[in-house]
Amino acid sequence: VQITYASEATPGQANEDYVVAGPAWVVVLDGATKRAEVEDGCVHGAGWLVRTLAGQLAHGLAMELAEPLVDLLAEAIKATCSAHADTCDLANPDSPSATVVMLRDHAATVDWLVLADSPLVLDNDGQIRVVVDDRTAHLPSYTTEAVRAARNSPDGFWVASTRPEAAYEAVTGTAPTSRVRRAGLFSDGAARLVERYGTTDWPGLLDLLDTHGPQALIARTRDAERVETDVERAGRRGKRHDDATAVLVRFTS
Amino acid sequence: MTAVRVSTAELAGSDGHSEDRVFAAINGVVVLDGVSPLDPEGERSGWYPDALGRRLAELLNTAPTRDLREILTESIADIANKHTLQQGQAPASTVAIARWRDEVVEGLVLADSPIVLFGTDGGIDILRDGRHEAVVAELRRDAALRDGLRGRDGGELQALIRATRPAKLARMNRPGGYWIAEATPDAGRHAIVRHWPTDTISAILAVTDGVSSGIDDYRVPPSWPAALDLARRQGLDGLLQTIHQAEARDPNGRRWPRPKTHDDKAAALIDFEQATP
Repeated sequence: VQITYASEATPGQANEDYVVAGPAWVVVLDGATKRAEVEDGCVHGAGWLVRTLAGQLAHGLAMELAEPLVDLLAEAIKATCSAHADTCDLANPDSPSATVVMLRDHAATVDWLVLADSPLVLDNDGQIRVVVDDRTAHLPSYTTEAVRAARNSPDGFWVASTRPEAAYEAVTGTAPTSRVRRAGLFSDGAARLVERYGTTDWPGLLDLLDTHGPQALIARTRDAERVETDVERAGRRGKRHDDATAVLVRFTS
Repeated sequence: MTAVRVSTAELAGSDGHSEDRVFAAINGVVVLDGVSPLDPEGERSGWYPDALGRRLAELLNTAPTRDLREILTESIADIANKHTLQQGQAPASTVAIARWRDEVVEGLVLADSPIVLFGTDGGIDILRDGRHEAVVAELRRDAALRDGLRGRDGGELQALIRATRPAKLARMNRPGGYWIAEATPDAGRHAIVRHWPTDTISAILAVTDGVSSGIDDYRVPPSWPAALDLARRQGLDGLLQTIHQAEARDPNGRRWPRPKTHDDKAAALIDFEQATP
């Protein structure tokens, strides 16, 4: 397995995406940027959350146990909670949160986990499989109040934050390693060429990642962001730029 | 209409009174694993999964596009009202529902009866509600630390299950615990649901844990694709029998620690006809 990645902050901002990898596993996290008017009860912020979760997940994955990914994630959330239970208000519904996408090659099996809107694209013997958790795309409203009510609630969407059980809501799957050729992991900021601009499709994004590398994919995304007009942006959700992380996993037989 | 072949199978566990049930509706299946009341230690009887499964199948047939969690919530409420069930003293049941239409396949799981989706690309999605197992694992870890209880064989495991029963009951149908069909209709809202484009699916297996532990724990059959292959060649009964026979070779749960030799088993297989190119 060969893993290549790049992670780049919104120009001028601190990166709230994070990536961590081992010889045969990789994790991408995307911390939710706090809206200015929101009081989140946490002294650390989203950057700290993704780094802490990444460290905890790396610990679990490096042990190379057969534990399901959902259990590793639940444990990582639990450990992260303990790491700031003394300083922060974990009952605050706006406590920092993150998306998670994990991929592991273990015992001749590739397994994966996707929680919230960081997509995974797999090339299984030439057949492209897109794994998305699209619950954040179907909320009835995106006001601060509506998102707060929907976060980590059964009728809303689930993210890694203060509730370990969110892990069990993740989208998971598995395939024999012999069938998997390539995989691409993306924070939503690196999936914009498909999801926001429609300049390519998922197979195209994976090919771009494979042919030109993660750095080039992010550079093209920045180009698209720069030429987006105000009128176009008004018709879409989200900011002009976003943190972007792209990972290419190549399986060699 | 998507062409599918549906088969179902049930096999009773050690005492011959199965609490597992499987029901087929017009465009869906329901698999349930009944649990006798935790408090007091109830008699084994499958009336609850039976009644709940029938109600679910009815609603699946009368409202073929209605939200699965709504259907489940209503079914739990109907049975709880009809039999005036009391929270914590009622029988409970896991629920797995798979439903298919031309465009979309939907899955719902509540507690530990998983649904396994075999993709046309060879990939497998397992829709599983890990919350029950996570709570059980946590309570057993605590019991091991506090009371030195272990679960190395069937006998030790039975003692461990008895010792952790009150703590488990306190976590049932509460946020941060686990969710199961019992006297709390709201558990239906907490079921885990997912959907897939129908043309990416080649088969679906919905099973109780008496079947999934064959693949997950005993490695008999060794993988989900092997389980599907066996079910296609020898029928679902053949799959259930194979796992049952493996258990018979380890009667006291030494190799695979479990509280009884044979757990109840139920399964449904939905085989999608492959369109010829």
